[in-house]
Amino acid sequence: MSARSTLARAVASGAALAAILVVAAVVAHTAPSEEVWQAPMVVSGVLGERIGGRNIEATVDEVRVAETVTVSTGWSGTTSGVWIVVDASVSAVVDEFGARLGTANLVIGAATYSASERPDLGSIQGMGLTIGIAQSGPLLFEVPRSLLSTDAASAARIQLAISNDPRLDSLIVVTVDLTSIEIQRSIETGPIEWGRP
Amino acid sequence: MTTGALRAHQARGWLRRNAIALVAIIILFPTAIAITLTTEWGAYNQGRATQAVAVVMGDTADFGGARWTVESARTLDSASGAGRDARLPLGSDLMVVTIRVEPRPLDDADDADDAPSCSTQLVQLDGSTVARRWTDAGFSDISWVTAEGVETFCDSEIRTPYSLESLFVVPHATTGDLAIIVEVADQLPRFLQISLPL
Repeated sequence: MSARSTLARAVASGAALAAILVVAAVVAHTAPSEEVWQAPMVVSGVLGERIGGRNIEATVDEVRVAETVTVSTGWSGTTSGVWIVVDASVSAVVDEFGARLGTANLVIGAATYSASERPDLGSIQGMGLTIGIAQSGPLLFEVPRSLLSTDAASAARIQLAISNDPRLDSLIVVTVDLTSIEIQRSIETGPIEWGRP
Repeated sequence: MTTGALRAHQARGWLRRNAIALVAIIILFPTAIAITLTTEWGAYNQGRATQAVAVVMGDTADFGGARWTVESARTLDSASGAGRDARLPLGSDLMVVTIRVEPRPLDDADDADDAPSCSTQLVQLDGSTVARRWTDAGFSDISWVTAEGVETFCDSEIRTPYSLESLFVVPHATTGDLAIIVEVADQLPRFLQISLPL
């Protein structure tokens, strides 16, 4: 075998190796990360719209802001910030096993606020869900008052999902402008209703 | 010998020298994948209700150490007087299913003193797949009084025949291919599926 052909084979091998490395680098940099391929499946909607996911159906009826809130059980909450009161109706769609409103978040910019557990049974947070028969009632979020005047508050997102880990399942998202909502001194929320017409 | 013929000869030689290893790879690689998947899938499948023992309402089924017979299945409209008394949610029906349970000694001598403990569900079938699944509404916010002497859950302490009542709150006028599912933990992946004529 001549020195020329040996050199040609070495060059070809080097080129093939380089090509393989380039392809591997492209694949490594473009392949979806675990966070992406396990991400919730977002179903977006607007206030008053009935939004359906795999095993959750929800309507966000109204969003209010107040300094104090009294819920139907008589519990009254004070806060150094403000309360964002979200009135919503939520039901399961196909399966009641383990179905509960496990995710109820308010996302403002980079901050995520979970629905307060302080009102206990005066809120639908964490409530068990039935197929096609909605639980209707308030969700309460306690947030700093200063946040309401930020740009991020003009596109706050309400997130609802059937479990506390919505990965690879439906995540209902409703965007609201919190900056346009007048802050009330106090709010009394209505009773939680099961099967509201 | 030409260069091409020489290369072909060398390739055949290489294949002959490595024949055993190549055959081993061809056999062992898919075998390893199959064993791994079978083991993983099998373990996953054993804990899930996937093998139905199907009967229809009125039939008696021997399953999980007891004889099971659905005695009755009736619905109560939330708009009716009884529905209002039961404080059913608007737009719903209460489905009341009564199952006769006759415990028998299990095959396994260690469990011979225990009657089966079970869970019941209501499903709406779409062919062989479950389209919707309701869980027992015994702890729901309704006012339903179960008749005296009727049990509301499978009690493994009861060795004599008894009636088991399961409640399901479903959207009004739910129809279709409905069935009661009875799961006994140590029988999985087998489960009892009793079709309801509703």
